[in-house]
Amino acid sequence: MAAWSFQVHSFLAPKVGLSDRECEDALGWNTRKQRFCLADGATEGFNSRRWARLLVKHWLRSTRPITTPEVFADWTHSVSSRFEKYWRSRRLSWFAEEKARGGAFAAFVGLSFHESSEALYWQAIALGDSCMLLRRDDEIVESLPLGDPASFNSRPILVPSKVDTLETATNSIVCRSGRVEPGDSYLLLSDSIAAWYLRLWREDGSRTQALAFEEFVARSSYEDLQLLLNGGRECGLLRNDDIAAIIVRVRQDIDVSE
Amino acid sequence: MAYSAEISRGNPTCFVFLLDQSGSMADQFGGEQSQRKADFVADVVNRTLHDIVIRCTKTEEVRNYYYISIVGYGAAVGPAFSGNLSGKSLVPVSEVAELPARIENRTKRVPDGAGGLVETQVRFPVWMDPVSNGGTPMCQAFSLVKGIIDQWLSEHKNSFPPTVLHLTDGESTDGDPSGVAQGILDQSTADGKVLLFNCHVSSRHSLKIEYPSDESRLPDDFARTLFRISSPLPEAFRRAAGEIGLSAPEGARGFVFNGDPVSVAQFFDIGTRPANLR
Repeated sequence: MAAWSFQVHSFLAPKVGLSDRECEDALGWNTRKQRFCLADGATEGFNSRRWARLLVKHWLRSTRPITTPEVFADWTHSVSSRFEKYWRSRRLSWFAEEKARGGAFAAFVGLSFHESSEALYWQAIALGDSCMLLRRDDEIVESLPLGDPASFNSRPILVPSKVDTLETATNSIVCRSGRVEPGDSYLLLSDSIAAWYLRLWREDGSRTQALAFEEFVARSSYEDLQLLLNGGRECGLLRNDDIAAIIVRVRQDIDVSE
Repeated sequence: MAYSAEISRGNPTCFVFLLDQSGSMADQFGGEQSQRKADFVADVVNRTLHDIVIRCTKTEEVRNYYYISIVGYGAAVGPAFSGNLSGKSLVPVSEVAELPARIENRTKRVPDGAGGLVETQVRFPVWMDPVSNGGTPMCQAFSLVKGIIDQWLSEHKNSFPPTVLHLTDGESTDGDPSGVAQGILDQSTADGKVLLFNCHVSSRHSLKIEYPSDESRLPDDFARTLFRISSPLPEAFRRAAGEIGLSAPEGARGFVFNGDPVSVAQFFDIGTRPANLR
């Protein structure tokens, strides 16, 4: 009998020049529930940092798997109520009240696994431009919701905190699933780092940098990471943005007791 | 590349609203439900300031991405803020947010979700009031703006350069403004030259000309003078124009001649859109 195990590594950093407290990306995982997710709060929204963190917290806590647009919409509705309730009880300045009227927005990507007797399966759900990439050996075999680095420049539809726009947004949810192979690496990345990673992967001779990124995250080599990312920013390939990354490496351990 | 500096609290930019407040600004402007030009312009500037404040609002804090100046010229030339900011020539946006002269309740029509419109009450902060009195001392006004910008530039050498949004309905009454305006255009930061955009408004329903790239369609010397002291629109501003359906080809100047109320609203919208906020 083979047992599956997950090695999880992560990296979270604010825009250059801002403090950790101002980072609007959020990430989290629960290996017992085999759930991993990341949210990228939109700078233009009202308190998108809190919205991103709430989405992550409640996606991991949810008692049922959230793997279809319908369930995602129901679940967003409940998280939205918590978000709105918090602000309704406070007295706000005219400008905060006006900003709050528009609500918060975040890109979201979630990854979960479930086992059957003969295999392990992954399921991913995404709305916006935070991505799940599946790297198998030397190939990116899945990239969702976006796969082309050039497509990151548009304004994506995000998860809104205002439920009146939720129905329209859920039409843009992307769900995908597949069978896990031992050695698979699943990368959850917020938009700027996803675009950078995909661009490097496509360019001849640049893949080593993408793989170095994974290695530096896995080894928590933050100085090396900063050098690599600063290089990306200086040559204009990496936008100055918050960065969130989770790398999940799946292994199959053979149980020798059998 | 010019006009690409990131706008942050450490590296803010500056908007100067330069407004004609001469006697002719009391004339009617627009169609059936017309307002006086001065009233309309004050409303548009107040709404633009509102949008700028909201853009800089992060939860309950307003970040100082911008410094704001309003200069009026007519019977007098000087800062045009009303209320607590009265007399101030340049104010960080957080102070603008905290100190409107007053907050009015206004009725706004919004979509009712079923294809119709419904009236709702909104809070409308007011920072400046309409004024229409005296001549059009444009040279004096540009001189004052140049001084404000000189001071600001000495402290923000690497910032996205200041943007001057000038609105007028008539010719200068204190001489040719070209020289002093050119003095503004010649100033720069490491990111590019100061941007000066000019919007001329007219009550006469004459043919309006928006964001031209050459002088061929301009009707007279006054229009050509304003064209020549208008900066070419950088890429982000041309994109903003495109997003609201206006054509602004490469080389288009930040210049409107014979503008109507729609042109004025669009002029302030496009002119306050340097995008690269951190």
